[in-house]
Amino acid sequence: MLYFAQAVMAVLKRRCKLTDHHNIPLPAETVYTGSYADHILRIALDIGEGLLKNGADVHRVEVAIEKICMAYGVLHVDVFVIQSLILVSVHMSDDTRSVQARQIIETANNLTRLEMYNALSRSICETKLTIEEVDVKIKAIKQESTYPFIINIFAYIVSAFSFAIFFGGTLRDGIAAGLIGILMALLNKIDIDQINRMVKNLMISFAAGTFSCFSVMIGLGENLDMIIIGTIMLLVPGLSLGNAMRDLLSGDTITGTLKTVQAVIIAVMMALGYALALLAFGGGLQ
Amino acid sequence: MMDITNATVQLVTALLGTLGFSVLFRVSPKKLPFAAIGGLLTYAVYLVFDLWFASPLVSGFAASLFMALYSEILARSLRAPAIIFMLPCAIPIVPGSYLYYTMYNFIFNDFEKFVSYGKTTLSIILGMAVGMSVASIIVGAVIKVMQLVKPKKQNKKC
Repeated sequence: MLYFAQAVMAVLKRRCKLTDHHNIPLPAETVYTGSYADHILRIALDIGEGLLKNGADVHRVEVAIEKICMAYGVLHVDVFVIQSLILVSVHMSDDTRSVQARQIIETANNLTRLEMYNALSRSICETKLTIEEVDVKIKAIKQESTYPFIINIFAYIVSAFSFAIFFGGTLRDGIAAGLIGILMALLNKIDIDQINRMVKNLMISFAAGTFSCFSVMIGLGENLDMIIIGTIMLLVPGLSLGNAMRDLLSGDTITGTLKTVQAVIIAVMMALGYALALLAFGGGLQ
Repeated sequence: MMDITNATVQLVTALLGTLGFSVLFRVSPKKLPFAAIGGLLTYAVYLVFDLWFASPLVSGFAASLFMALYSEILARSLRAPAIIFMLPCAIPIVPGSYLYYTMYNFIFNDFEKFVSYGKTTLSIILGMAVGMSVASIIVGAVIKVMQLVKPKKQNKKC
């Protein structure tokens, strides 16, 4: 027993040390050392990451990185981009070389940022900005926030309301869907590290399905299917499936396949969430 | 679908819904109206082709072809990437309802309806994808031709 306790304490201590080790704060102002090629590559990757994260297609990212590197006088550049990784190598005219990779973990469709990154890469090509200027601009783009959360909630309400009516629901269905839209906006705001995107989708769709059933039970909504369809439109990966198909058709096979698989899994998760809700609460409503 | 009032309601809600989605996609405020009107026009094209051919594949193809060309033209004139208009404008033709009915008939064991709704869903998505690729081919060809006809100054590469 004592040995066991000692072993547990040892493990705990080691773990504490480990976490302490990981929590060492980084210096506030990151100091970059390295050759000119490294710096060019760093900003090219920053911009490429920004483009890819916010919804640009692979081909556009490749072209943008190539053009940025060319604008800084790189002799030769090789770019490899898939949905979750950018890999670039450059060969400068003074025979220095650099290779860097960047992992893209999460994607967010922020089209304002996409537009700003695009404008930045254009302005790099047209007027050769210095690397410090580009750094400042990238920092500014990362802090951009066009719409506050309250407007986001309104967008959820308007979308769910409109699409419930769009697919043939009544006004009351629209109102019910709009109210569920608020709930989905709040649930989407929850950001816990342990919950990945798939599980989050499952959770949100289950909640939306459950509350759709409740809204019909208490007599607010009339057609359960219309309310559910209105809220489904907020989650449906139809668009990313379309984009994936387009990638496949235009020759980006790896990204197309990855995106297709991801979209199908999200669709299955979403369907599972709604199906669970329907099986639990909605059986007698149809 | 033949009903005029029904179509009007659908067009108005398509406009509103696209507006909502544009905010969710964080389209910058100046470009919101273009995106919303694009959603309305895209759905109008979808409705017309639906009346004409009654095939989800063809209507999805035509609507997304129109949508992509509209976005490319706007992108050229407003100097922004085309995808800013493409993502929101495509929302009204995303087959959300067919996807729901596919799922519903799957869990309640109606196999025939499941297959037919699933086929419709897939054909709309395939039509959308083909439409977007055809549009990108057309745009590429037009740019090539324009460059051949009127070679611009060479220093402007980007």
